[in-house]
Amino acid sequence: MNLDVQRLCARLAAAPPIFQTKLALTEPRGVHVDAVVADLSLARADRALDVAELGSFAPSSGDRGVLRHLELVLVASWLLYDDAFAGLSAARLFTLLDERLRALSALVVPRACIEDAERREELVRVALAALGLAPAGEEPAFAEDRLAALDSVRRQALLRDAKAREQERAARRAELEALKRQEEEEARKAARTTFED
Amino acid sequence: MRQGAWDGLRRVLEHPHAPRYNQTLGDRVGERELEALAAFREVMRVRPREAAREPSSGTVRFVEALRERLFSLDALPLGFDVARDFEELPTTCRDDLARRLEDLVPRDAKLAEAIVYSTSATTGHAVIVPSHPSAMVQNLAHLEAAAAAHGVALTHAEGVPFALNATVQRETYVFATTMSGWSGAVFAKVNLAEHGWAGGAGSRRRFLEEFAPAFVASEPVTLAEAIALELPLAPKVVVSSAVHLSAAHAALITRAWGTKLVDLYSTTETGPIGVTVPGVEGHVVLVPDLFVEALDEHGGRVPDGARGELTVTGGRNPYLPLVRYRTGDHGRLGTVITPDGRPARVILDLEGRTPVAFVGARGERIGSVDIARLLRPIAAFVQHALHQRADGSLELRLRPLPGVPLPRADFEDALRSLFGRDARLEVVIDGMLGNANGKVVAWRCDVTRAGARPATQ
Repeated sequence: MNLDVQRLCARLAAAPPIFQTKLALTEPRGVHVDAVVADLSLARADRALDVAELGSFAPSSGDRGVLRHLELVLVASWLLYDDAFAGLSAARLFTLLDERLRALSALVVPRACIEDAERREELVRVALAALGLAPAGEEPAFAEDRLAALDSVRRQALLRDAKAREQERAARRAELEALKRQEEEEARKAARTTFED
Repeated sequence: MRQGAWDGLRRVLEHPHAPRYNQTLGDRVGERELEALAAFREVMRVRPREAAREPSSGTVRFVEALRERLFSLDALPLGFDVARDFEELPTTCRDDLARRLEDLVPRDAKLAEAIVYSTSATTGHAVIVPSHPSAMVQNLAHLEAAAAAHGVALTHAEGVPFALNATVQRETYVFATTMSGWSGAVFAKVNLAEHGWAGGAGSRRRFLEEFAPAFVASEPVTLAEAIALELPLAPKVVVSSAVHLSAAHAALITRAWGTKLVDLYSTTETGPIGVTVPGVEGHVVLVPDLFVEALDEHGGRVPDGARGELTVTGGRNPYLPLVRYRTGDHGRLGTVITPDGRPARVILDLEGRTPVAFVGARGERIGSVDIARLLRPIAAFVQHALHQRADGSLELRLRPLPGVPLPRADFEDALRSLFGRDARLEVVIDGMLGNANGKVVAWRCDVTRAGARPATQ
């Protein structure tokens, strides 16, 4: 078993349904992500994560953003259960699951990391980079470039039209404000012509 | 406007007992809008309704088509698949109309043809809802289907008085026009308050007698007033909307006027959502292009039968296509088979606006939904307003149905069973409740939440 990106992507694509669970606070019998992460750290890291660390993976609220982060942690846990990840640094594992995936979950739907080829590769490369591991059979420069490409695709998509978009929004806002003022003026006129005893 | 329609309208406008008109409005319905109406009649007739918990492919396509057109959707996460990730779609609400309407109106929609409605956000800010005559006229197809479900076929003719929108308010638009979507029949919006008529109550009676609307649209307070005044109305169908209509009130109206009664759930932002249908409990979503969900406070979909905020996707307004729009109203969802043999979603226990929390004697939270459940079976009333003041004392105002006495002591006992035996409370029977401007704040609590412990007597 090695850290071949294609093999790890294939593993993600074959994630069992339980790792694709849609989390909800109202499902007390649902998956406990903190327990999954505890088992993962026992099985693959150089030490078990402690209670305080595991607290990051228990839902603090039913907010979809919070739950989406945990859903992505669940997907990543399936990936990291792979034998090739044996002997992980627990500190790096925690940083990946807590910080890196929290940020990623704001931009990527967790299930896309199973179902879409590009997002699978992005999760694999993000995980390897955060864990300080090199993809098998790749020059470091190539691995860095590839991760940057996947990241930059997103960054560019978000930034590409940001300025033009804001200008267009502002113009639209002004148009709608004018419509509102016109409506208010008509309502005022109507009020003046309303008869009342 | 065709000559026949204009002749009929002129007779209503120049009627010697006409109300005090204060507006001149047309329906802005032309050929294009009539085509849209005809098309939507067909949609109502043949398109399968959204009858499942998950959106149909039609609703998914509706949202997909908006991804490039709405600012609110252009930052969806990478890999977002509308069918798979529907529940991840951001929700919107009425306050978004006030704060960021530009994100909800398609960026390519030309505003020149917009007609504008005003409503108020929960923050109290006025908001506008842009719409289009074609969206408005299509609502007629929904009313026709609702009437048909009650066994009423709407037959209208050019220039003939047909539809009346009645209200009782201090001031309101009063006008008459023709309805191009209904053969050019005449429509009048009137204020039933006596000051709305130059000739007072006598003119009101004479005008209504001669107008003889087959179709009346109104709300419960006005309908109660109209019956109390024994106005000469005998429509084939009455559509009541805006606030809750009790079964007893509905029965009173149908008896008094020998009419069919449709309770319509509709909002300015969404258009019609549901109607009552004979033999089915609740409000049935007859429009096939509206997907309704019930959500919890975090935006997650609650199971069928559980109470949640009614949230809609779809509709026909080109200026405000709805994508998970949270109505602020609550209810429970289920699926039923309507009398026409087709499945549909149904809204049970529809409760307007977000539930309000009151404070009990020991500082505990008492929800408006629970209070409503306790009060409604005691006796039928038109409207209520429960106000808990900052000191914890309570005032319940009730507007009675004409001829239906209200047992004040029973209402007091019910409130004491929730708020404690020593609660300071007063029940006021108020025949004028809602008359000031037609709007009643049904639930209001001024007690500060932290450490709340209202005073007792």
